[in-house]
Amino acid sequence: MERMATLKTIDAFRDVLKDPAKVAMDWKSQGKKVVGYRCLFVPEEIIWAAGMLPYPLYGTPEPIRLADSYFQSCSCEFVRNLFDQALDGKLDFLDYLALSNTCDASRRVFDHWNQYITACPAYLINNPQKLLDKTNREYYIAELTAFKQQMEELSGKMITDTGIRDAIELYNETRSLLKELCELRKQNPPLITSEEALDVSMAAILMPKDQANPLLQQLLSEVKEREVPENDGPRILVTGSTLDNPVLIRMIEEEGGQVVIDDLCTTSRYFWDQVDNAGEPMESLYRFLNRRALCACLHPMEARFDHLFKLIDEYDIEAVIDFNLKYCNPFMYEAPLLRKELEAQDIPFNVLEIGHDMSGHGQLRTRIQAFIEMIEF
Amino acid sequence: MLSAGIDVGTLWTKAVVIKDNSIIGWNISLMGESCDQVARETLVSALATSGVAIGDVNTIIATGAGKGEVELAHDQANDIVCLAKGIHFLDPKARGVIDMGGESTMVVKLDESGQIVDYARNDKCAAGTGIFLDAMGKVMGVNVEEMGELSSRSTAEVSITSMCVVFAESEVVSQVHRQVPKEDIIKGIHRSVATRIFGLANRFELNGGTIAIGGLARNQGILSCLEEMMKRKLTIPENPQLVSALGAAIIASEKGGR
Repeated sequence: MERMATLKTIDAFRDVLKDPAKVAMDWKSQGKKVVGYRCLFVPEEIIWAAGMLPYPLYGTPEPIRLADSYFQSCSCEFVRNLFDQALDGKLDFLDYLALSNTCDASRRVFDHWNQYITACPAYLINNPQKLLDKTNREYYIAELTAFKQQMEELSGKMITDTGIRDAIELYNETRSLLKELCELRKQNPPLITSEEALDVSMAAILMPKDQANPLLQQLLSEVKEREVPENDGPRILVTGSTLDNPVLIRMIEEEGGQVVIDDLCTTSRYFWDQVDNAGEPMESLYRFLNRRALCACLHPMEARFDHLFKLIDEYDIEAVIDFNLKYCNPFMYEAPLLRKELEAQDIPFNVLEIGHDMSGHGQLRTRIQAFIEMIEF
Repeated sequence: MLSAGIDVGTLWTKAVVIKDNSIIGWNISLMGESCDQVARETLVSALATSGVAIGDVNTIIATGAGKGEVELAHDQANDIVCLAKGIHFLDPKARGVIDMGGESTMVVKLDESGQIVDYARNDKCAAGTGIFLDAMGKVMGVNVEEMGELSSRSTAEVSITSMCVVFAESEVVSQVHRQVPKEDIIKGIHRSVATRIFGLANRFELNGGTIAIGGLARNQGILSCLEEMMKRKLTIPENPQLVSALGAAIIASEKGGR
C-alpha cells in the first residue's frame, strides 16, 4: 500500500509525545504548578484558570515492575503502569493528582496514591455515575465547586468567572480544531491516517493549549492541501479503553483496514463536545461534563451506543473493533452488550483484548488479518 | 535422640535426619504413585548411611504439599514454618528467604530468632515459577539446565512482557520466527521471571542477609537479574532443596520423644 508523505507539523506534535515530561518541566521552569489528571471528567478549565497546567497521565510501554507488589496481576494494566511510574519517581514533577470517579481502578489508584506517593496529594472528583440526568445538578455543581476551591488553595490564586470563561474559550478552540481535523477522515480516502490523528490528538491534549492551537491551525491548512493515494480498505471504527500506544491502529492500517474514526479518551471522546460558554461558568462546565461523550464506565449506556451509531452513520463505517485493555472491567462487561446492538444492524464486530504494552504482536496481527478478511469477503 | 523431617513436594520428596543438632543423613527422590511409600523409601535411604532403622527415630514430622499422606509421620508441620526453621538453622543471620520452586514462589521475612514476621506467596498463576521456565525451554528446544549459561552470552536482551505462560509462549515463538538469537530471548525470559519474583519480594523490606532456594536458584541468569533488581547479593545454601525437610526435622527434635 502506498503511504502518504508525513507532514512537518505532524513531526512537531510527535516530538512533543517523545518526551511528555518535558512539557511539564518547561511549564515548571516558569515557577508554575502542574496538576496531573486522569479521565475526561476532571475539568481542565478550572486548573488552567488557576494558572496551573493540567497534565494528562499517559502510560509507557515499559513492563510493570514496582507496582506488582501492590496490585494483583489481573487488575487494570494502565493503572498499574501509572502507579509503577509514580513509584519509580518518574512523575515526581507533579504537584497534585486529580482523578474522577469513573472505574474501580481509578478509585483504588486514588487510595494507593494517597498512601504511598505522599509527596503529591491526590484528589477524587466524585462525579455521578449516572449522567445526562437533571436530578444530579445541585450535587455535581457542589462537587465541581469543591474542586475549584482545592485548585485555589493549591495555586494560591482566586479563580474568577472571567478566568474560567477564558479557559473554556481556549479549550473549546482546541476541541473544535481537533474535531475539524477528525472530520477530514470522513472522506474516502481520509486526509489523515488514524495513527497520525492519534499522535496529534495525544500531543495536543498534553500541550498548553495556547501552544497547541496555533500548531493545530497550521496542520489543518497543510492537511487540506495534501495529496492522498486511493484506498479501498474497509472503513473501521475503533472504540474502547484508554489507548496511548499506536501499535494497534497501525497494525489495522498495515493489514489493509482504514480506521476512519476512533471513539477513545485520547481522541474523539476528548474533543467531541463543546462547552456552551454563554451562562454562569460552573453551570456551563456542569452541563458539558454531564453529557460529555460517554465511555463504558458511566451510565446511561444507551447514550453511548446512540453516539456510536451516529459515528457509524456519519463516517460510513463498515465494521467496529473494540479495543479491550487488559483487565479493563467496564469495557469487558460492555462488549457483549455492544455486540448485540451491532449484530442487530449487521455490523461486523470484534473485541481485541490486548495488554497495555501491546506485546504478542504475531497473535494480534493474525486476529486483525482474519477480521479484515472476514469483512471483505 | 534421632529426629527426621520429610518434605513431600509436588515433584520431589526430601528427607533429613538429625542427631543432636547435626545432620547425619539425607535423601531426595522423585515422586511416585504413593506419597507414603516414597516417603518411607526416602527416609530409609537417608537413614542407611548411619545404619539406623525407622524404628530408632524418635519423632518424624512431615511437611510439604503431600504431608497429609505420610502415614509413618508422627505429626505434620506447616511448610512455611519449616522453611523458616531450616533457614535459621543454616544461617542465623538470614532475615529473608526467597523460595523459587516449580509451581510456587514464596518470600519469607524472619526476625533475629528465626520467627516469621511476614510472608508472601505467588498468585494463582504460573508466572515467575519453574513451570514457566520449563514451558519456555520446551518452546525454544533448549534444556532448562542450559538456560542460565546461554543467557550469559546475550548481547541484546529481548523484552518478554506477557506474564501468562500461554501468551508468553506465543511471544517467544514470534521472536524465534524472527530469528532473534536464543541467548537474547532467554535473557528476556529470565528478566520476566525475575520481575515477577521481585514484585513479590518487594512487598516488604528485607533487611539483612537474604537466601535464595528452590530450583530456580540454580539458574545464574535469573539469580543475577534478581540481584540487580533487589540491589543485594543472594546467598544459596549447599543443598537448597533440603531446607524445608531440615526445618521439619528440627521441629521434630524440639518435640522430643513421642
